[in-house]
Amino acid sequence: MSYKSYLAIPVSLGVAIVVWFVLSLGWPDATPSTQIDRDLAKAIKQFNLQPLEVRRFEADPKYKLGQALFFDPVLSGPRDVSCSTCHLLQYGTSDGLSQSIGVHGVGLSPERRLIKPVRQHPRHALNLWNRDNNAVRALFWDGRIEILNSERRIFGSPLGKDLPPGLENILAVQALFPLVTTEEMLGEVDDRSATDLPKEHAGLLNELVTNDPSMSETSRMEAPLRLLMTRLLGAGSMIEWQERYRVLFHNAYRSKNIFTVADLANAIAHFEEMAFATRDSAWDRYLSGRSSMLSDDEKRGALIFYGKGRCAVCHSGPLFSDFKYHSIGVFGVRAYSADMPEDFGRWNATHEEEDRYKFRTPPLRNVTKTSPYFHDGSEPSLRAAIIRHFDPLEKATKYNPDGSFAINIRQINAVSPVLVPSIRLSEKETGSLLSFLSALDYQPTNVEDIVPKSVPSGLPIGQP
Amino acid sequence: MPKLLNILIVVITLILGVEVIFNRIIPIVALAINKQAYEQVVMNCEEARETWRVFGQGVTADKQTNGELQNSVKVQLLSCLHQEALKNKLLSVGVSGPSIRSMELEVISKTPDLPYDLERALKG
Repeated sequence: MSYKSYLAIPVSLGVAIVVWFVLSLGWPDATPSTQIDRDLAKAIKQFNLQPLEVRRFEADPKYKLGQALFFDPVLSGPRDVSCSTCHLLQYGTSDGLSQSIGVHGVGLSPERRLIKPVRQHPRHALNLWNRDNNAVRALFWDGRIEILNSERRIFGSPLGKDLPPGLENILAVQALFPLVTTEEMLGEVDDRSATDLPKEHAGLLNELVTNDPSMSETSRMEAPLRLLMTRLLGAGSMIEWQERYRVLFHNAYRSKNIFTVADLANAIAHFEEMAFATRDSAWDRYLSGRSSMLSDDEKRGALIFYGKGRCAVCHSGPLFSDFKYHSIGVFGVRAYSADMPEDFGRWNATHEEEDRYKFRTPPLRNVTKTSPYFHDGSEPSLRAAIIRHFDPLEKATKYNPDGSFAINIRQINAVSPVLVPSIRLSEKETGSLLSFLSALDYQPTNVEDIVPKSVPSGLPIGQP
Repeated sequence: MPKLLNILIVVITLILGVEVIFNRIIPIVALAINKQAYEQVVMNCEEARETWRVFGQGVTADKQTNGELQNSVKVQLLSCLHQEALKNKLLSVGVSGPSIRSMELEVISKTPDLPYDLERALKG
């Protein structure tokens, strides 16, 4: 037996020991890929998560009508803004502004600015993704539009029982309100359309506003809607662009001869349902069983989202919102209205003391595209918005320059107990959370089916 | 005869070598390689337990919110399973129980308590 033969035994043994060691312990990684998948599978089961179900895209006549109405500035008092002014596809159907600018503005968002010293819309424009989903129970930051009885189609709204009959869903109810809100689309009684518009629209007085102080609040909302239908379809004689609208209405509602504002709202809602649906996000594909659709970092982010980040407590369900009201310690510095120095959120809709400073949980699909964040658009980046959730009572021990408390006791008491005690995430974990949120993104591939080249009125549609 | 002696020396060397490798070197190497990972899972588990102590009974009047909160803490508690799994692996390669325990205590003593509940304090 040679010397080398003697060495072969211990060397082989050494190699065997190293192999056994590696096999039994594994590489020193706290969460190898398969383990993340196993954990995520448990989280998915725990939260009963399913891929989002979305209706198949179909550009039917009702869609065509809704598309025209959504993009046509003729729906606004001074004929200068449309729904799409504040809901742009490029900005995830929001507008990139902290607070939206409707009428009395120039330029395209996010460079849009006011040109008249009027009150600006007090809140950030919410996005429109998947609002036809059954999970949606309330709309607007304060939930002033809500479903009271889905089977009987009873909706709560500022119009109360005076809501026009025939509205098909909550999205249709919502579509009415920007039309009758002064700083969004309605404008003021002395507004005139621009003189450089096509001649049938140029220099016209805003006939949608009735300046009658004896009118009730609901009449003040109903009258512009009635007048808008007259503007769109003409009264007796019709001009060419009104004829185009009449054809679109006829095609969309074949059994009808008389069209109401509910038909208009239902068509806009139908367009929004079809156009603004997230149909194929990486997260949904992962939930469908394709585990390679998410990177390890995105999966780690998902585990944080559903685990130690406590995000899924409120950002729950298929749209990542519980459609309930919480305060996360964001108290806007801007006045909500002339008689309300702060934005009281849900309180505006209910006048219940316990609702003060609470806002509806915003859904998170396509959230990476809808900056800035929060109801007042006070946080420009998503990372900063996430971090702001971690310590909502940060200002509770701080003072303003004048010596007063930075936040008051009512505000402190309003903060959701879910976020107290605060959440501790490392830089890396916050990064993973951001990666996961980007896995909720979806960009429609059929942009040409969504954004029209022109609208029936012939007005410029003002899209980038 | 010298051949038999040689074999005997090799066998004794092997036995001693294996003893040293299994009982001394491997545990030290295993602990060194996995120290950071183990500390992390211990910290995560400790935080999860603390969160469960705070939220386990629910903190809001809303049933749904409480339910989701408990779900999220249960997901967080998965880190305790990882701790157990890694602990068992370390024990199986010869790392001693007391050295693991001392590492755990070191981490727990460093883990800060959950921040003081300011809201309740102010209400109180």
